[in-house]
Amino acid sequence: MPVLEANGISIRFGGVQALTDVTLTVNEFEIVGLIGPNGAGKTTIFNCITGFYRPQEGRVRFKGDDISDLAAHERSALGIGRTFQNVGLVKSETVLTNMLTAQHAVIEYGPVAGMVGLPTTLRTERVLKRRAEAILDILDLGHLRDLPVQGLPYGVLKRVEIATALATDPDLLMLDEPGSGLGPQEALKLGDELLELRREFDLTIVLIEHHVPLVLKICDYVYCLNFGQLLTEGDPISVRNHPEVVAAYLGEEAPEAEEEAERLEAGLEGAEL
Amino acid sequence: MTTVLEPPTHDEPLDAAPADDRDFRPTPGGWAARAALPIGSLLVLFFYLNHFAPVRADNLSNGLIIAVGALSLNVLVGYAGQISLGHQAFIGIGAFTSAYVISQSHQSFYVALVVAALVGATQAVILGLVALRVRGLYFALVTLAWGAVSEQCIFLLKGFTGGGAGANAPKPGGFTTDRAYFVLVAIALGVILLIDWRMMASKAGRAMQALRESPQVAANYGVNVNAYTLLAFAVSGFYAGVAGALYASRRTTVQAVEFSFASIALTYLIVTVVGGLRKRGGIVAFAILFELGAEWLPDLAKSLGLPRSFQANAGTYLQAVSGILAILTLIFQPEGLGTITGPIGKWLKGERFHLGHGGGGGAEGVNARP
Repeated sequence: MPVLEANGISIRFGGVQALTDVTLTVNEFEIVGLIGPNGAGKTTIFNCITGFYRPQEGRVRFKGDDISDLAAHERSALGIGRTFQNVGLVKSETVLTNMLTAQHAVIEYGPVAGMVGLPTTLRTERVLKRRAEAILDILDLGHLRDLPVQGLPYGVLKRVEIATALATDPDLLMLDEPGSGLGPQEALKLGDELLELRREFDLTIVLIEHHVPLVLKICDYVYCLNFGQLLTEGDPISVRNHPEVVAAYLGEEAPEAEEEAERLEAGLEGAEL
Repeated sequence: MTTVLEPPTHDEPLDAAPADDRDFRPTPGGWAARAALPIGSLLVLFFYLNHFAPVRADNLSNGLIIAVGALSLNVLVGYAGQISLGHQAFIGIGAFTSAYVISQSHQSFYVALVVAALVGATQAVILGLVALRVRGLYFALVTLAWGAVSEQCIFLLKGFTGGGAGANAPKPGGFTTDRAYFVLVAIALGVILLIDWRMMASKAGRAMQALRESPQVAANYGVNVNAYTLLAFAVSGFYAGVAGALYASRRTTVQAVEFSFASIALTYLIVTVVGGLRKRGGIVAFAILFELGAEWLPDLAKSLGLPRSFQANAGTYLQAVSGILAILTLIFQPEGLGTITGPIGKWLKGERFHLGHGGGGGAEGVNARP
């Protein structure tokens, strides 16, 4: 059964058509890559799925239920965890507090019970803390727990953000460029860790990523977007070798330019002779 | 020959505190010093209340009431990142509700206190519904208008507030003396501080902190941003209602003229800012200092032999001085008195004394969301 189905998503901002009839399907425990040049609409489709944007057309289904009319916080509570391209953390708080805040929807006691300090709330708080520490340890972030988020290096922040997304107890994890700011070696290491996390947390993962070796290594299926439209989809290797994908990334050469280049080459050869 | 380029590593050592700090345990002498501070301040308080005329106790009650009012503002401005320039409405509605319940409905002070807190919360939530639609500077203007409407209309309703003549709110039995009433106010402040502490250590407080910084991140964490914004208003209104009820019974009568922008809304806001946004210890400390200043400045001016005109107005100069203090706080020390009270609090809990180890914060809470 597909965990996520986005059917015919179209969204306009004023006169700009950001997405046109985009359809994605993500099956359980799959890792699905979303690639495409800058401005292709990758983050926009994330925002449509997580509820930060309302598409003018199209429906989003999560685990079979239509969630198109739910607010972002409701979708998060249902089990869609998400990271942001430019780091979505509460910056003035410590790593641990962010982990506790991220468990908001998991907490069973009401806000007022917490304010008057009922014994059950104190017990729950201890459980939340243990859970937060366990996740931080899995990601090797345990030593950072009491540091304020502000001032941590970018690469570390991307990792902390994955930890907070896991703390929301997701079934579907949506990562917006988790490998940005990482070197080639580190990106591949992240790939191994994501495979490990999928196994450990029973996750289905969708990721936006520019790092091609990482995508090839871990993705089961890849969608390529360009100018707000689905260019192609399929297994990673065939998508990478798809001529249109290559053209979208490298830019298409105009025929006149090609002729011009040939002429110049010929001219140069002539001059040498 | 080929040279192998090492990939850059991000393994800089990042640790919360030096290892000896984390394993730090005070010596028995250290614990004694930590116990001496609260006991010592209680002794000083006891001496202060007993040695001087009862009016000192009454003034000190006022200081604690200001503290409750400032904590109410702290919830909105500090935690939730909203602004209120109409807090005289919050406090005044609490005061007049309490007076009404006591003198018109003939209920006890304690019933009145609860009703005032609930009415305070309700009116704040109504204002909060506006805040969900109007933001930033425009919302600040709405709160300013709400204060003015309360001053000019609600507080002059004859049936509710006794018009300009005022309403009666006698002190509860057993707490009729100024010294006994001070104890009652101190207990109320203690309860509010307890609620505030537990709130910030649980679901609601964390949600407010998150939505202040970024509604988007908060929503992504599963926080219902609108609901928790309204909750912040409700809590602020609740505290303000308590402050109002205590305010009313302290003087035993309340009049509309007391609830002006300058004497309540502005003063409380200054106390909140100088005490330190999100620093409840600093806020209580500065509320008490503010009251002591208003009380002792005229005496001080007299003993320094300053001109008579200055002596008479010394109390009002305090407001001007505090205003300047507030500006300086915002520029140079956004955490206000909390910079000092925070480390003292940690020290009392058995940690090492560190000045300026408050972490994060900054003045970003002052700026309402755009």
